[in-house]
Amino acid sequence: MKEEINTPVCSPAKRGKGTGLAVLVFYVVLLMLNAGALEESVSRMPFGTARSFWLKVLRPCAATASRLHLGWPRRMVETHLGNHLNRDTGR
Amino acid sequence: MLFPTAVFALFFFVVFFMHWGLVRFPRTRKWFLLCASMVFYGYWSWKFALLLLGSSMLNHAVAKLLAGQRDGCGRNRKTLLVLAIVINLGLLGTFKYAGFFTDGVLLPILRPVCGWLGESAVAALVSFQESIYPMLSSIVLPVGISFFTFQALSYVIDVYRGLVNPARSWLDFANYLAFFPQLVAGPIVRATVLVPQMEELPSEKRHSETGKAVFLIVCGLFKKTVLANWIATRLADPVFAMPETFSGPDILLGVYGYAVQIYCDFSAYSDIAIGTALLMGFEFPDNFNAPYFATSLRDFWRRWHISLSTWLRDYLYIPMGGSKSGPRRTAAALLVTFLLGGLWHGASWTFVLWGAFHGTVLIVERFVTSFRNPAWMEGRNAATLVRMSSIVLTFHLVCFSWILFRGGDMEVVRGVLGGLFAWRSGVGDVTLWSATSIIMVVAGFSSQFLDGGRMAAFHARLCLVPAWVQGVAAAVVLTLILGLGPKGVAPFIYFQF
Repeated sequence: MKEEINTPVCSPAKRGKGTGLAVLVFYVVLLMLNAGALEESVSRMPFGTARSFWLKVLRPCAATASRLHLGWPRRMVETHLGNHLNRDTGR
Repeated sequence: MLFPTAVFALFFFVVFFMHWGLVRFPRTRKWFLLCASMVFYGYWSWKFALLLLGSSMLNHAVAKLLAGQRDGCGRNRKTLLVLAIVINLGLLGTFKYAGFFTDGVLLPILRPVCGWLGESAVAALVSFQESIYPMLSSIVLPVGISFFTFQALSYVIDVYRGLVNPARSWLDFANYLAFFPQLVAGPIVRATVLVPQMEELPSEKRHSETGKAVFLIVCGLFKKTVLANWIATRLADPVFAMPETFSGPDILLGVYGYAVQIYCDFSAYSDIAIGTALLMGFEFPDNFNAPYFATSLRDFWRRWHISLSTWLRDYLYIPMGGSKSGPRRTAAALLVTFLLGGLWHGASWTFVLWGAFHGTVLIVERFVTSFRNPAWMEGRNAATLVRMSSIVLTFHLVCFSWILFRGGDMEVVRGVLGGLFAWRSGVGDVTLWSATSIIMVVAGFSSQFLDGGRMAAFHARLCLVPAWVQGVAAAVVLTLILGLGPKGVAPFIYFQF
């Protein structure tokens, strides 16, 4: 059942540099795509230093993401599939 | 700290970059890694983190003493080993089984005995109960204690057997025991695999495949946050909460749903753990390999929670005689191993029954497979038919055992089995059967195609994709997953074990 793998494997050094970049890009893009949802969830936190801090961090990101319409993919999935999947059936 | 949360995402961001930023300072890096694992574990309770540190100190000290006496007196070594086993199991027993043994074993025996002895004995028993219950209810089970206790035990036993040298320093061993990706729900990585990696922390040149790691993490998050959570809240939880209100077909879907849910939930944790460790340069062995495609229960245990089944095989089944000491001894070893395996999962009679069921079926399987296959089964078509039937039969045996596992108490188990076998109609005309529920169960079942080496070629190709593209793709997919999943995250099933 084992499949022969003939695909060339990239060098360890290339992989080493790549991992950090991939993770960094992942975090930045994830933050921008979800900034609106994160801000909304932080705003529901109890009042205090943590809430104020995270709102200060997230507001500029959420504003930029909103200007660039980056919240669109998540909103679209939530509206068309997520809400349908997760709505209460009343059972 | 739960994997699919913003808190963990933030924690991992800091840990990942600090871990690779400290490559030139190995000792500082090891201390940093240990502190990170303590923060991860201490997020539940700092007392648990201290307990974990205490366990690592004790086990490392015993391992050092055992290694120091390798050529010395065998009796002293045995005493040390027994002491370590007693302390480790004592710790596990106190936190996990004290309530079960008092309430489920001791008191049911004492009650009739005291009744027979007279009024003063009954009064003494009542006062004992009054004093013991507040004490028992104050015991909180430390998350993942079953996992790290088994890791510590395997380390000490392997050092005793001379299979592994003790870790060079306590710091290396503590990092092995407390390493955050596998700390609370496995996989139970052996010392032979992880201690050398902790001694020589991965340098950039040994950096492993990013594509594979990210793929595992994203798949794990999809299985957990979308599939397992949906199936739990819509199918399995309602059926097991009120089985008497559901019809036979609904209960059947609930049981299939639970089988898929527990697979998606637990394999998701393993995938995320393996992927997270891989991003940090550590390699873990696989923990699942398409378990519901198993052709026998024996095969199932080679594919389900592999790190636990190999642990039970190496430290219980084989020392008790294994398969080489005659059929009776093998049967006894199988039964005891699975009874204890059941008890490991939880302090309840339903888990003991679950273990007994698996042990008994494995014994029957051994007996049946000892006969030679009839000639008609040798043809290609017949062999395929037999194989398919074996997969279906094994899956249904496993599903049956999940009823015991999920039931919690015998009342629920009876309710589910009663509804299933009587094939009665439910209360009202609401049914769990819908296109969405079938799609979710089939999708969860099909996610087994991602297990094991099936995706190796794809992982290798992912490595050729530019790093920034991998990062963007993973972020977009994860965003879509977050949009699909419900608000909030249910804890992983295996956290309670």
